[in-house]
Amino acid sequence: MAVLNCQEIKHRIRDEQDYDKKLLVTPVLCEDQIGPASVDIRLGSSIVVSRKTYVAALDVTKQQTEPEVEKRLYERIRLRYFKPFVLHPNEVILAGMFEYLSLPDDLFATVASKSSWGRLGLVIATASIVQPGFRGSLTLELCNLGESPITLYPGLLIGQLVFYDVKGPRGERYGGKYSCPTEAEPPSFAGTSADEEMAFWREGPRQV
Amino acid sequence: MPAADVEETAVLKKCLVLLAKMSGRLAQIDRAQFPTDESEAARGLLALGIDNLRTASAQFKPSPYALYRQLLVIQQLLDDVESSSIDYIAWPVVSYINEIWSKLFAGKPHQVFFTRWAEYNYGIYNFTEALGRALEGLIPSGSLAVPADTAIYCLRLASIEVDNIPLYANIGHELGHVLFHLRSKEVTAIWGRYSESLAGLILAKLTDNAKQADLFALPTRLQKIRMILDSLVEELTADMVGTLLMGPSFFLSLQEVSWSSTTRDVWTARMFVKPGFASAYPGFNFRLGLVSSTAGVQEAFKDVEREYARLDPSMRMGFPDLGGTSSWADGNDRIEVMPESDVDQRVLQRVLNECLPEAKKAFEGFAREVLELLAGDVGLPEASAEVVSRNIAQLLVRLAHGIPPNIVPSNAPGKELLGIPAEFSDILQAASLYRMSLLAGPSFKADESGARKLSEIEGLVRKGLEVSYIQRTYPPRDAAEGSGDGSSELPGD
Repeated sequence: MAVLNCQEIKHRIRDEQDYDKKLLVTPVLCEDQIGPASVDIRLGSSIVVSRKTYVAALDVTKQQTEPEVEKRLYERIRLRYFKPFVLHPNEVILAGMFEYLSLPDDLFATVASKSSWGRLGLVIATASIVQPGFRGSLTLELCNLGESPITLYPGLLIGQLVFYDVKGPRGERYGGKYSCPTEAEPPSFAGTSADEEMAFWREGPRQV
Repeated sequence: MPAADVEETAVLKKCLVLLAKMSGRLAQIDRAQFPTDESEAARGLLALGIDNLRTASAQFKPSPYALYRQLLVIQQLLDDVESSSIDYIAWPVVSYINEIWSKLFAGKPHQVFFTRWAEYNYGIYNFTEALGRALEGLIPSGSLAVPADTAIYCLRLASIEVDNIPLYANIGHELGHVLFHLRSKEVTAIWGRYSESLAGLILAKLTDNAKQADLFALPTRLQKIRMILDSLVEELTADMVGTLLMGPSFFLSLQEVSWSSTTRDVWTARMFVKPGFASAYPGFNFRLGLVSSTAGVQEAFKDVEREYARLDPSMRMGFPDLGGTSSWADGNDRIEVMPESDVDQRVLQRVLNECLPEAKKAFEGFAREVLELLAGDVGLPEASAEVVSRNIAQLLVRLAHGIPPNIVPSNAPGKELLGIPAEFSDILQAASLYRMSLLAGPSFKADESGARKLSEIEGLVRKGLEVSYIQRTYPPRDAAEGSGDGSSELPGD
C-alpha cells in the first residue's frame, strides 16, 4: 500500500476520463488545496446537531425504532456561507464536507484534521476511513475538545484526505448505507447483516 | 358608555395588542436564517412601519375597524418575512436568482427577497407598495421613512421547492413581471400594433345584434375585455422573459407546473370587485407551445442528446419527446371568465371565445417581438447554443455517474484541475432532463427505491448549485488564468 503524492493525485484527478475509474474531489477551489501527499477539504453548509430532550438512551440494536429515534434525536441545520457558528467545548456535531468525493475501486482514503485546528482542540473525524468506491460528501464528526468555544465558517479548510493504493484485483464498489450523500447524515445502523449481528448481541443465542 | 363606544374601545385595544405581538414576532426572527441579505431590508421596512403605526395609533386614534382590517394585511407581510428562511429555501438557488436580478435591474433601486409560499405556485409583489397601501390613512403621510426610490419585491416560492429544485426555472417568469412594469410603455406599444384588428373584431362581436341595453353596457364591457387582454399580455411577456433567462429549462419547469392543471387548453380570466383589475392566464398548451418554439426547445434537446451519446456511448439516455406541442397554435382552446356573478360574464366569455383564434395569432406575433425587445435587457447568453449543449451533456454524464453537476471540465490553462463552474440554467436543465428521462424510462421503479433515486438526484443537484455558486464567488488565486470556450473533452475535478 502506497500513499499517493501530489503528482499522482493530480494525475488521477485530471487525466482519467472514465468517472468509474477517476479520483474526484469536487470542487477544488484552488490548486493550493492539493498538498504534497493530501487534499485539503472544507467545511460544508449542512450540519446535524443532537437534541437530548426526548430520548432516554439510544439503543442502536433496536432497528425498528431507528427512523423515529433519528427524527427525535437529531436536527438537520443548514448554515449560510460567510456567517459564523460556534462549536462549544465538548460539543459534538456532524458536518457535511463541502467537496464531493468519488473514489475508484483501487483507492481508499483517510480523513485527518488540519494540525492547526487540532491544536485548538478541534477533532474533525473519528471514523476516518473511506472505502474504495465511495461516492458522496463525507460526514465529519466535529468535536471541540479544547477549553474555549471555536468559531467556524462554512468553507473553511478544516481537514485533509490522504489517498492510498489498494493492492489486488479490483473488488466490488462501495455499496454501503450512505449512497451518494451530499449532506451531513445522522448515524444509521440498518442493514440485513447488521440487523442479525445486533439481534444476536441483544438477545443471545437462539434455542433450536 | 354607549355600546358602540365600548366595542370601538375593545377593537382599538385588540389592535394595539396585535401590534405589540407583531413587534415581538419581528424581533424574534433569526436573521442568520435569511436566505439572502435582502430579507433584512424587508424586515427593517416592516419594523419601521409597525413602529410608526403604534405611535400613530396612540396619538391620532384612527378608526379601530380600519386599523384592524389593515393589521390583517400587515400580518400577511409579516408572515412572508418570517417564512424567508433557509429552513425552507435552498439559499444557493436564490443567490443565483439574486445575481440575475442584480444584472437585470442594475442601477435601479429594486431589491428582492425570497419567501416560501404554501401554494404550489409562484408569485411576486412589490412589498414596499403593499406596506404603503396597508398604512395609508392610518399614519400621517410621509411618516414612513422609506426612501422614495426604494422598491423591495417579495418573491414567493412554491413550498415544494425544498425538494424540487429544477422547478426553480419558473422564477424567470416572476422576474418577467417586474421587467414588464419597467418596460410597460414599449411593451404596450407593441401589443397596440398586434391587437388593432383584434380590437375591431371584438367590437363587432359586442355590437352584433346588440339591444339597447347592450349598447349602454358597451363601454364597461370593452373596458373589462381590455383589462383581461392586458393581463394576458403581461403573463406572456413574463413567459418570454423566463425563456430569455432560463432557456429550455424554463419550458421544462413550466411543463411540470402544468401537470397539476386539469385542462391545459383552458384560458382563465378573473375580474375583481376592485375597479380596473383583472387577472388572466393563457392556457398551458399555448404557453408551452410558444415557449417551446421561441426557445428552440426541441432542437436544443436533440443537440444535448447527440452530445451526450458522443460523450458516453455506453450510457445512452433516451429523452422522451419533449417540446413537441404541435397543436398549440390551432388547438381547440377556450376561455373561462369568472366570476359568474359578474353581470357581463356570459357576454364577455362568448365574445372572447369567438375571438380566441384571432387573439392567439396576435399574441404569438406580439410575444416574438417582445422577446426581441427584452433580449437587450436580459443580455445575450455568453456561450453559443453549441457550447451550451455540450456543457449540459457534460453535466448529464456527471449526474448519470452519481456526481453533482457543478463544473464543466476544461483543458484551459489553470482550469484543468478546477474546471469551470456550471451555469445556473444549465444545471437546472440537466437536472430536469435527467429526472424526466429517468421517470419516463422503462427501468425506473416507482417505489421506495425510485423515491431514493429521485432524492439522490435532488441532493446532487442541490450540491451542484451550492458549490458552483461558491466556486464562482471564490477569488482566483492561480497565476494562470484560462480563457478557453468554456467547454472541453478533458475531465477536470
